[in-house]
Amino acid sequence: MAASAEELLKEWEEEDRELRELRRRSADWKYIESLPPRVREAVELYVETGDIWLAAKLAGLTVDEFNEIRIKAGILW
Amino acid sequence: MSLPSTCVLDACFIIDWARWSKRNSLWRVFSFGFVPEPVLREISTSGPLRVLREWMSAGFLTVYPSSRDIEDEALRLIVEARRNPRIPRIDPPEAVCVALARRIGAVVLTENRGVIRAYEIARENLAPAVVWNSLRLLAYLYATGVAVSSSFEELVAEYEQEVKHTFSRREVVRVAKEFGILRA
Repeated sequence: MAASAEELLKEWEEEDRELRELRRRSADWKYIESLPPRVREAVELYVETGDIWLAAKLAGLTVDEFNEIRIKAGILW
Repeated sequence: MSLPSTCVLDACFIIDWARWSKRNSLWRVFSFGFVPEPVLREISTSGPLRVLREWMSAGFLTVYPSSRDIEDEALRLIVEARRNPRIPRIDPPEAVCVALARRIGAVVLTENRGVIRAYEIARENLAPAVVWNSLRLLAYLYATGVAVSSSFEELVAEYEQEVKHTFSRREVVRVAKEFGILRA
């Protein structure tokens, strides 16, 4: 892989770290704790990975419905 | 830059753009769009559904029905991406968007980082599809004067505020450089 691609991969790692930290910090953990287990685990999956489709499927919801929960939980996208 | 005139919309993109007041600027860039059926199934709240209805009524958008060959192609893309540990997971609806866009030569509009990064690493593998997230579309809107703002950063801030979607600052700078609109 070319050096520029290596730089890009490094940049992506930094971006992922930055966004994961933002999601963790913005989350209303009290609200998240109050959610039913399936949805709570899904929200935590979203906070860690940023993968909204997978989190929505774990919650048993559509992406759109899960996004509403994300907003209520104050988690940055 | 010569851009395909057709787009394929992913669920995250639709959900976000339904919240943005300047969402119809999309149709000053593209003349027509598709929503694949698996993507449509992920839209279920009133705001995004209303926007889809408006765009469909205006003749900008239609649904692309599920088909075995597109889904087979999507599965192949997902499996290929999993072989590269540096590419985040590509989810099935996004993969369907890419498979369709490759077939017709369209721009995929998605927020799925897996698809975006797979495209960034090897654009030729997904050609003639182009893969953009909202940030790249905003940069294009700003660079071409379709969206008017005092700066690209200001336009991004306005979008983030309305849509509640935060971009990585690193990505904002990178995309601004990519589109030649970085402020000195």
